[in-house]
Amino acid sequence: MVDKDELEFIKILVPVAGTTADEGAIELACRLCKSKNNRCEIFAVHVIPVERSLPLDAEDTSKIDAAENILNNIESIGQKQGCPIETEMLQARDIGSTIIDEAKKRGVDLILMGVSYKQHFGQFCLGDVIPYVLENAPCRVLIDHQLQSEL
Amino acid sequence: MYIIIAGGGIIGSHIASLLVQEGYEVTVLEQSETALKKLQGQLDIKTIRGNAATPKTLKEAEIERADLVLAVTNSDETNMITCFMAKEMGVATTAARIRNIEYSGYFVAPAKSPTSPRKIVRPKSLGIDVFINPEVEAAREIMEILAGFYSTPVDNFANGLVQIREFKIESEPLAGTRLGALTLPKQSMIVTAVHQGEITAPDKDFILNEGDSLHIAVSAENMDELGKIFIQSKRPAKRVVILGGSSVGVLTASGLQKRGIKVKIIEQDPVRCQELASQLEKVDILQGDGTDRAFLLEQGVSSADAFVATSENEEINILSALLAKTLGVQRVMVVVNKPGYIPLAEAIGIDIAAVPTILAANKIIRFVLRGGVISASLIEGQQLEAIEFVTSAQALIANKNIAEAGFPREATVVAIVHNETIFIPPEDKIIKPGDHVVIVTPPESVQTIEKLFK
Repeated sequence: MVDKDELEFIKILVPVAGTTADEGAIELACRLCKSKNNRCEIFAVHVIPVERSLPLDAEDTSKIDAAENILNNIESIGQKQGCPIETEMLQARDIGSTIIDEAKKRGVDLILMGVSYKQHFGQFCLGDVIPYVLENAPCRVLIDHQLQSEL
Repeated sequence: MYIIIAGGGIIGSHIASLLVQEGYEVTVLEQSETALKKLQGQLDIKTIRGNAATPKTLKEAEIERADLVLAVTNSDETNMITCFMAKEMGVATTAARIRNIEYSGYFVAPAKSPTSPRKIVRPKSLGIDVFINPEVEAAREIMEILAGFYSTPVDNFANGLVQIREFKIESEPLAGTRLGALTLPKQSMIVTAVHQGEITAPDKDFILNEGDSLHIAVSAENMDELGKIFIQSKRPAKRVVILGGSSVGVLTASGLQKRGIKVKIIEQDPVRCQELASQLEKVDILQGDGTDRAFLLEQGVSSADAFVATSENEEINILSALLAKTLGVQRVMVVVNKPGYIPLAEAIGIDIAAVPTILAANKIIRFVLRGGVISASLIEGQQLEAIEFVTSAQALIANKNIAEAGFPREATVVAIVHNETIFIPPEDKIIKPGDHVVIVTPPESVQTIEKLFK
């Protein structure tokens, strides 16, 4: 059984990719934060994957613009919910390991990820990132799976 | 809403006048006594003399009360520091005018390990919510105009499904025509007519005169059909001459050259010519006077498809554009900063490619002022605004028809987009939650309309 104190999340990391599932995850993070009288810190991070054919420092303005829109949307959800959200944009070869590095760097207590209903060859599929995070996370991981009808 | 504007130059005063017209409380910070006196004579606003990047001046302007700080001085660095200070002092939103394209707003920060993730530094982390680069926007508009056969830029709404464009009455058959005699395509609506600089709401008996213009809202798919009525076909430009090695000129030249268009730049300053030659490898750089007819002829300007005057000197731009027109260049455009020069250029038949001051004002109203607005643009300087709202389920006008929605009399609903189905004109349609509504209104009524969508 989990001790109640162990669920005291103070720092929450929400990786976002621009899907509707992210919005659900951010709203859930805000609800958790409000339940702690807004004592939590919420970090939203968007990772732009860089192909191996390009240098890691390559600037892709269209991807940066898209990322800025995603993070702006996340910030406005936070504003509506009354919870300030710190947003960060990163670019890396691999999304999963970057999320883990970010969680360690920031010392978060929880990684909260939204998941949409994806199918691969007719089978429900979590993709690559979520299993990697579940396997390597230095903290608790909460997966927010929205109903298929909500997506 | 209390707004502080750092910089009382052309852009600062233009934005201040727009904001005052809309009923906002505005304070302008400016170092030049002359600019301040000019502003005080034109507008009923508070002005403070001082360096906007210093805490002393910002405190004097009661920064703690400010909802928005717009830094539009001539110095990029001052603008950045002003925004940074303002953010630190608790201002919710900041916008900075940044002219140097080297400050692109975003940059990838280096990391200690070559394989580590890279942080992308955003303007927001420097305290700037919105980067305004009127020169980049101006170059983009010029390229869009040259790529198509229109001579005026388009304003897009509802993800590009609805467009508003100004059409000038240039050709003989249209001048003298009664408006009711025109057969406009489906899904189109005349928003306003401009006759001798005055905006009018035209009826069917309105007679079109040479020099008049019409702003027409139309679905994107019918734009070319509409264009054929008003515009003598102009083929996309293949050879372009640009006057002036200003940042607008350089950005335009580099963008056009990437699209395979042959570009020549005329610049008077030999040192600047050297810089341009090293910067733009595939562009011909010609050192000379753009107002010298013999020089223009010698350099083959008469065989160009388009001539764009983008130098810092607006008088020279207009003069050289006029010269190029007399040399037979089909499309002649100028960049002007002072909105007062627009009627002058138009009167002598020169198209205005871009007005960076208005572009800056457009961007500010689009991204900063109207939080709930999807897009907005100015029509005829700042006489009218076209604004797109998305109707929320809680909005006062949700599920009401246009007649009973309570819009101000002077506002016109020009389009409603319901689930990607376009209604132009919307007649007396019921506005449903989720609908995109495009409204054209004088700036004074914007706040009243905004309340209806809350």
